[in-house]
Amino acid sequence: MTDETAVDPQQIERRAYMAYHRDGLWDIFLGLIFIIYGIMIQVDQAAYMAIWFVILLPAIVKYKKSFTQKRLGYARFSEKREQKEKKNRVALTILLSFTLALGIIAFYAFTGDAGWQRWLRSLRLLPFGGVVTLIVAALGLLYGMYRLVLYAGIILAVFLAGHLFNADPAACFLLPGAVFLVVGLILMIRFMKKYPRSKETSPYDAR
Amino acid sequence: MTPGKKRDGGGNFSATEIDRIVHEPARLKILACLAVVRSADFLFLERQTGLTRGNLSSHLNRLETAGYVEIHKEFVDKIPRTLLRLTRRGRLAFDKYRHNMKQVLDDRPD
Repeated sequence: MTDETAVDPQQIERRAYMAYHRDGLWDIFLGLIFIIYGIMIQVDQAAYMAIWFVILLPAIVKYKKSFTQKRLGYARFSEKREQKEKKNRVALTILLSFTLALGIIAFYAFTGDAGWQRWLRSLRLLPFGGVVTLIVAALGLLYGMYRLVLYAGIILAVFLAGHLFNADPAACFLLPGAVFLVVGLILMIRFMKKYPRSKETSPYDAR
Repeated sequence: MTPGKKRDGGGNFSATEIDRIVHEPARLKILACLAVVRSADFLFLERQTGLTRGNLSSHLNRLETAGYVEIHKEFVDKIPRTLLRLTRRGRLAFDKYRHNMKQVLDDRPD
């Protein structure tokens, strides 16, 4: 911390909060989800894709607590920050509900042969790519993790290219997934080097 | 340090009124970190300030003696944690220090 920034509370608060998101775990999660989805499409088990999301999300949240907090320490942030977190969760819930509604519509696209169903099927994975782009970009903007906005751009570009060049749908997942996983692992290694796990207990614990 | 704001004959803020406990760079870092969170553990402060454990511990003792920082224990996810937080007095001292320093810098001749 430089002495110029030492008394700028807003900057200190933001820097301290953002340090928790520089551990690469969310990037690894996103990468794994994309790679697993790619493999599931490849082995023709795409219908079970959502199960992996439900399995991996709580696991990563639990692991994040032990991995990140043991290296970075624990802090209870300001009420203002906690209120912002609550608003973010509400916004994400609305967004995920919207996604679920779109998923149901997409499911019905395969149940009949009406005009709109044929049109939706002709778009192949493009609507899925659009929705994922929207979710990842929203996550990045809400939590100030701007690399996720870049990821959203990559997802959109890959899905658009996949649609235009009639590429293998699995590749549309595997390619961005590999990128996110590699970035996440690099971030994680950097984080572990910068914040090694402390073996000593706090001098205040004994009090 | 006298808590009241004093000015010299020329109307300028007197630099002798700067709180020496807060003015020390390491303690200023600690106070600035604690001012933006409700409470934090020792490791968080160690990481955010970049101070060594011994140094941090000694400055925290000084701040605790001055009544600027207090230690409390609470359960977080069923795990007991020892947390540090600014006292009301510590927050006032930090805010006053920032205000005074701004005034000292603003009042300097061009």
